[in-house]
Amino acid sequence: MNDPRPELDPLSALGPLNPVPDAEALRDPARSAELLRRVLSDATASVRVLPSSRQRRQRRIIVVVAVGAVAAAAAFAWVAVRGHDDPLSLSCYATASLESDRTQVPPAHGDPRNICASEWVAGRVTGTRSDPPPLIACVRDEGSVAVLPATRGTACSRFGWADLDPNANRQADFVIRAYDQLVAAFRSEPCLDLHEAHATARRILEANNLDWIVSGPPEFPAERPCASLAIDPNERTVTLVPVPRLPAADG
Amino acid sequence: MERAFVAFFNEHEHKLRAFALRRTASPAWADEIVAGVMVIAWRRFNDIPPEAPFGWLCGVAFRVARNDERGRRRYVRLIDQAVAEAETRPLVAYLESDALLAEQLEAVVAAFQVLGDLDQEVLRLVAWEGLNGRDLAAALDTSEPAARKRVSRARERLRAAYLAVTTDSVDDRRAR
Repeated sequence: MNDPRPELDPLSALGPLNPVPDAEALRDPARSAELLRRVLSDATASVRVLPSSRQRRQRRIIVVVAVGAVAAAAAFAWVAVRGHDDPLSLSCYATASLESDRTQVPPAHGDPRNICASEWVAGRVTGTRSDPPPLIACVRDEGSVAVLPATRGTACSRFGWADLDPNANRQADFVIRAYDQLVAAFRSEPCLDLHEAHATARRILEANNLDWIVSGPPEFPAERPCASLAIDPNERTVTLVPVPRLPAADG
Repeated sequence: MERAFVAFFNEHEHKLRAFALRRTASPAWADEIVAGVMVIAWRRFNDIPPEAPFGWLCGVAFRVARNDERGRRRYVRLIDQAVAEAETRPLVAYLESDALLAEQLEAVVAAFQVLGDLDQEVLRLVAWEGLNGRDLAAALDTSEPAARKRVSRARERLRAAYLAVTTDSVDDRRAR
């Protein structure tokens, strides 16, 4: 018996499933004005302005970490603005080619090859879940790590990169450890105020022998009393960012 | 620069908010994502490609949203809700009945969820944000040819997954 259903283009069928079909209907001048005011306030807050004096154009890394279990609103991904010049960056390449699709993953302890292998299994390297091929890890010019499929003849030197020595103590490891501890400390509390956040960040940085700056506004506005973090390893700065106290988890 | 940024903000904010709402289903959270992405846009204003500003914004926002587990869970619930609502929503003309429509949409959703995160987002950018060409390339942080290739691959994977799901359901009906 033939399937009675007419042929359906599944991509076309995604359109009607659009949860917000009409973006124009979201125009709200009052809300937009308030949001703009907040953006300009945050953007010009007492954050060290990153200089653009370097000879090579580089993107800076700014990570904002959520505070508390439900403050995901400010949980900007580590990879949101990371550039290719970030020493903590880990790129998982789909093929052994500089033109390859790649995915960037947050910094983590452990063998970068194992980290990227997990990305292959999750389907985030090629778009399809698959077993990872044999992988090699290389250190790029600026210090970031690239993990490529180890096809025959593939060597880091082919791209002018160095082999990653898994036994070497990278400065990145200390920063990653501090990052993990900062994230854990801030997420363990529903809301850290400015002073508590400053003390916590200072304590963790010192415990990891990181001579970094902790900066932020002199006080938080009443509507945003909780602290979130912006971490910039290149500038060795942790910036405290005010965020709203959000309601309890909505599932 | 502030004047230029304000114009930029006013042009794109509501579209970015729609992008965020489609992935979070939370107005408060969508506001936070929009604010955060726009702060990044302020700081990197000179890096935004003038020919594809909204694509650039989508790229930043996508990398924000996809790395948040709570957003992923919310998105799954949103799809379930969309499928439930589809039974009473007028859709493409060639579908013969609401019953078929709901069943086919369920199959599309099931197929979509089998895809990897990147494929899903590529298809969302095309089907929901309406991106193509330079905007899509900017969102995916790649070249236009590479972006087209990604769309083509993702589309084929979705089609294959959809066929697999619908073949299974036809076999189930035959077996009854």
